[in-house]
Amino acid sequence: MTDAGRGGLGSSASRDESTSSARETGDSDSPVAHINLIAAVLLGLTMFAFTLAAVFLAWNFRGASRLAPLIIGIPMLALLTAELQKDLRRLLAAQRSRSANALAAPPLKLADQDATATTERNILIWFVVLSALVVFFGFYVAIVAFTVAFLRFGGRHSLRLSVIHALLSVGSFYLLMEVVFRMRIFKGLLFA
Amino acid sequence: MLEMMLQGLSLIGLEQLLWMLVGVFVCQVIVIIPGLGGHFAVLMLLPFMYVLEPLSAIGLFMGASVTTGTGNTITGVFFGVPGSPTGIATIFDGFPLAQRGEGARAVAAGLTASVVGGVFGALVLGLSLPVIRPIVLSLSSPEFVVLIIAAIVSIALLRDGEWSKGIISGLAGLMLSFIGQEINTGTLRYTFGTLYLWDGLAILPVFMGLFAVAEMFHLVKRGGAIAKDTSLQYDKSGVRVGILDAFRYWKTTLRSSAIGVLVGVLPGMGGSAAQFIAYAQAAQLSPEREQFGKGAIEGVISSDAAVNATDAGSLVPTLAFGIPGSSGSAIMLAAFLAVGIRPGPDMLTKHLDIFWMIVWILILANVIAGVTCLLATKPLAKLTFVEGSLLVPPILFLALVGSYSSGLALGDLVVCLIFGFVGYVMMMTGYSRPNLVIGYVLGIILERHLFLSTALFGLEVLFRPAMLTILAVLSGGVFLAIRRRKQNQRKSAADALRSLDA
Repeated sequence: MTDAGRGGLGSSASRDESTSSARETGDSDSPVAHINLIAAVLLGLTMFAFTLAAVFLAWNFRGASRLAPLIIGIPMLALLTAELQKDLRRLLAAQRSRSANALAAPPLKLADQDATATTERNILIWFVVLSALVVFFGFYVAIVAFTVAFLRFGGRHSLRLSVIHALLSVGSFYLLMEVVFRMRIFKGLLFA
Repeated sequence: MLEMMLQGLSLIGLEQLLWMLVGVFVCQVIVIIPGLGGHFAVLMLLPFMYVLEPLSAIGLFMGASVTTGTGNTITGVFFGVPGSPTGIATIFDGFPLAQRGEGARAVAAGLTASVVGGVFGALVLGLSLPVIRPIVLSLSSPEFVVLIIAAIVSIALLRDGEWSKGIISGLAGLMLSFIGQEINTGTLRYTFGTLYLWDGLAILPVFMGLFAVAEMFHLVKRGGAIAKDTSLQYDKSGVRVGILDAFRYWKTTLRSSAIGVLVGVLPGMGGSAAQFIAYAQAAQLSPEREQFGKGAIEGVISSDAAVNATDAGSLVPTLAFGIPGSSGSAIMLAAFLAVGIRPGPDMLTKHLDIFWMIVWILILANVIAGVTCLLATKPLAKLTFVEGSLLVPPILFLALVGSYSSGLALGDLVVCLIFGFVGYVMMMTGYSRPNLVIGYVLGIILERHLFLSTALFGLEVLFRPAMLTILAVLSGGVFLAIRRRKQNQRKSAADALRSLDA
């Protein structure tokens, strides 16, 4: 794991804001800000597409049931258009600035960019691995496999610690969920 | 009122008390780990509410949620690291005090001030009932529609960051709440033939994904343990002095508590803002103002008292109007709905005993949290050394198992994972997750009131005096907030220019 993207402490709300304010300061040349800007554009586009589809579908709903989606959806589309325009403009400006500075950039800065991209890619991989393990193999297998893999390769802990942690976790989950609270645990699509 | 107060107290039996203690304890342990935050702890307890009897569930939940700000003091004072953003101002003076060997005094003063702030907030909440009740009961559907929209807009404007992204997030939350069968006409919306979506997206998987899963992936990115220094100087003799300090500077304690309550009532402000406002006023009014930032005990007292009072203050709009002003109170609203209690006018008429039960729990939980933190300062502080990567897998799975167990549907699991990813991207991009969950929780309420408004009043709805008044206040607030933002932007631009010149 790298320290790229180290954004300070804080709860959800504050971190949401700090990222935003970092971008507002115009520091779009930093690798983290640049990746965040790309993510903002992609998220904005996705939201725009979903909202457009939701508004379009709402026209066919009966009477009162289309009122709220239209009242909320149409202003949201307007706001998203403005926001996307703003983010795209920033992104293009950042791209131009990066292209202009590419030759002059010190090797360290280029390494920073790679590290940031790698961190985000690793997180995406862990996310996909987690989702696949839980959905296909269920919680018990997923807890053991993900914990061992994550601690060993993500956290650089010893194999022994990783296995002990995984076994303790799975035991605690069984006791807490199934014995104490009598909750049902998902067994996975392959074993259902 | 006295009868209802006693009825509320009588609802707290041994079982409720024990669950409240569990809530307090779990929250204290989690809140101490920097980066996780108190609301995270509260969220992790949500799945267990479904399997508990409603009053015990309220005990567990309230015990945890009212003590989210208490444990912060310990890590802030000893390591200069806040457990959550509501503990930042404590560091300004708490950390220098610890470096002078007065850590125990600072922790004791901060925790005592927290208790006083929390109890003060609870009393204000209870005593404000005769004032709030007639106001709430005089409002009807059109006013609630405007209040809900006002809440979303003002939360976006009052927070730092891009207001347009805040509003978009709130609207996205509202749009998400329209998925499923519409309650008034029975029309199926955005279900795409999927049976799972008939009831809409379940609240718990959405919340768990947006906060718990996303937070864990953020922790993966950040990595490492927070506190590296394993030395911890704790002189027990300072505890008594610290406790007495909170009362010796009683004016600061009470003034900061009052500020906390006021800030808490406003939507979108929260403990993060309250601590700084309280700290600033304490620094201005103190005769020892030159000591602030170097180790003034009043600095610790002011910020800690304000944070806990804010939590109680934020309950006023949540319980009275059913409109949450922060992500924490949105989670609280979701928790109440999960156990079949609807905050708002219903709570002030049909469930007044539960309202008073909450006030009593608020008082008890604050006192218990303060005392337990004081007794367990040293072991709690050591939690800060835990490596982040060791926490990620168990917490991720707790969130996922919790999401699944609420409805036993694979769809819940998928929703939790999708929103986990969405939440992580929102954290990167400045879109507001608190606004999204507030919009999501308020969506169903908004639609019900919108339906009633148009059915009962038609176009007359636009000319109702109460609604026009709320609209006028909202417009004034929006105008002032935008003006303040522009002033701030101009000021920072000027500062940047000055620093470039220098």
